[in-house]
Amino acid sequence: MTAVDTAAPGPPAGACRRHDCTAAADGVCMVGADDPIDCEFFDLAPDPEEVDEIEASPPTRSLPGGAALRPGGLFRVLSRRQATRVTLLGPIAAGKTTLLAVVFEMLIANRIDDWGYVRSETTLGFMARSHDASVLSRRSEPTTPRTSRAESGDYLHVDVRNRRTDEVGTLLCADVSGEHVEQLVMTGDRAPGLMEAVAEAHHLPILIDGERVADPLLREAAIRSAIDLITTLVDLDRRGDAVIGLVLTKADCLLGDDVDGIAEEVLGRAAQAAQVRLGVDPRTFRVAARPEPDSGVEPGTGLAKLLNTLLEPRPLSREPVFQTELPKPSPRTLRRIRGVHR
Amino acid sequence: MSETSVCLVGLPETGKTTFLAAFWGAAGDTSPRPGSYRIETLPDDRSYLQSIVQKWMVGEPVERNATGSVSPTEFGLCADGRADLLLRVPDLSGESFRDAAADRVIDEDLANLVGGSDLILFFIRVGTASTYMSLADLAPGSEDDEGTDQYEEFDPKKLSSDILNAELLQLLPEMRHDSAAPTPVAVIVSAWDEVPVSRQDDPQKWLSKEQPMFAQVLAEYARSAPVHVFGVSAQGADYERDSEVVTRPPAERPLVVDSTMRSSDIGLPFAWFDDLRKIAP
Repeated sequence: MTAVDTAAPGPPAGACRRHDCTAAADGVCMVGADDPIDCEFFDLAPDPEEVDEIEASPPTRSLPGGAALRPGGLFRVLSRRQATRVTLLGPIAAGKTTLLAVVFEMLIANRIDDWGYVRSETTLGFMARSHDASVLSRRSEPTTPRTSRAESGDYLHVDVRNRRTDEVGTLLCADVSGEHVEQLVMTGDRAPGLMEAVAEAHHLPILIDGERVADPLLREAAIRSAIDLITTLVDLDRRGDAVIGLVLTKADCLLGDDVDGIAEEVLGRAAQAAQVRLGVDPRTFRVAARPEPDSGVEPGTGLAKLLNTLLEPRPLSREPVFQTELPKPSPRTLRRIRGVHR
Repeated sequence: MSETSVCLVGLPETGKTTFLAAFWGAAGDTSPRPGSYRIETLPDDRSYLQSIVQKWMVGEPVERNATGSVSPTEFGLCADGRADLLLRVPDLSGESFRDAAADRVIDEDLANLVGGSDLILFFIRVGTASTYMSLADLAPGSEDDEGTDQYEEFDPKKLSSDILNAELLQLLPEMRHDSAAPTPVAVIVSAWDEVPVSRQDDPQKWLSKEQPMFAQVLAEYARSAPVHVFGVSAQGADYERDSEVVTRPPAERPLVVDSTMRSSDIGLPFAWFDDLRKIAP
């Protein structure tokens, strides 16, 4: 009789160059690869026959930072100073990743009056997201790659210094997949990365796709997706005391006589939904991160104002949302919320 | 004689080797400038320095060091009114630094040399300095605006000098052996003669405009360690445009500029460091 090895396969023999990855010990790749050996940072243990050759090569040292951070890899950032966590929510192609990428591009180019760039632990993560909009890609039109499910919930980090107060602020922005957001809204499917990003967020800006709003046939659907997202947040009851904001992206699509006033109307309707369903009075923003070249709109329009809001000083401790200075919900809103929870 | 370990840090082809050649040429000049550093003790093996200085003397491009060798050259310097220095200068390849910023892996010996140094000369070259450029920043109809079908995958090694240098500077404290204060940094903006004369008076201003990310990270670094920016032309001029430079004595060729002075003393970054030590408690 031949013995059958029924032991589960262990983690691959090797080591990850990312200091905070535990793939070598538990087989879980922090970058999200199904198998650590497929990850660019994982070095397989050499074939024993090659060991002599490897041992002759000089030893190397890993340096921290670079790529986007998995939720489990935030210690280095969080241990330095209190961070403001931001999770942009919106459907596929609403402009979540583009917004993050352009904020970073503006900071490193020193193009934001009130804030100077200090450092980032995820510069390469930002640059990977900006690549398809850069001349290095050799594309003819700027684009932003869609955030994959594997990357969803990864964090991008940047420290910035306020030029007036000299205070440093830390932003940790979750880059979530629009697919996960849409699934959450439509089917209730709760992707763990998205749920954690929502639960930990201090700010939850909800993005409304201005390009869809500009199209009369898609406008109501665009507004509805924002309202549904707001309703989903009520249903989740997992947003803590996060500040809700409403961000109309691609605002350059809403210029001209025929669409004049539509942006106001759309933001107003979404704000009303937030007031009714969440009992909050959200701030609204109109941004154009990468406007069409012939729109006459400056790239990054509106982002400085958004950044100022995200980096406003906030209380150290978390408090239940209805005990803050935010307006009390109306009896009708309370009935609705309680009804959801029953 | 106080020992001073100096590291020349910079991306490929940023003028590290040319600076070393020019300094060796000037410090060994038979008629040195008053107050400038002179060679007091010679390195055991000076073949490499001799080979690069010969090229520099006749105005030929100085071959860069792409070998990955990190063995430092050691030589003694003296100057009137200044403490004697024993310089330990490894001529390090720029590829090693680029890969450290892009791949987050560095040769252990190189990390130890950088981390254990007393002074870092951080090189940025005028002609190859680049910043992140969005497709939206291109002027319509420009050559780059046409795009191609040959899509280029993201490769961190190809990022702009502004980004790679900012990352490298941010990583320097990670290479320190201890938790002591970060190493003083003299930024050498090389090939300074390529900057239009009207803008040559302040290398710091040039840096802020042309390398904004690096300049901001440098300003942060300056909160914890001394920093100074020099504009340096180790050759003194482009030899093809101004061949007369080659006829000048070695100590008179270089151009060194900061916001307060203009000189041909290529040892000024070391003098700046010596001044720091005098005022240090």
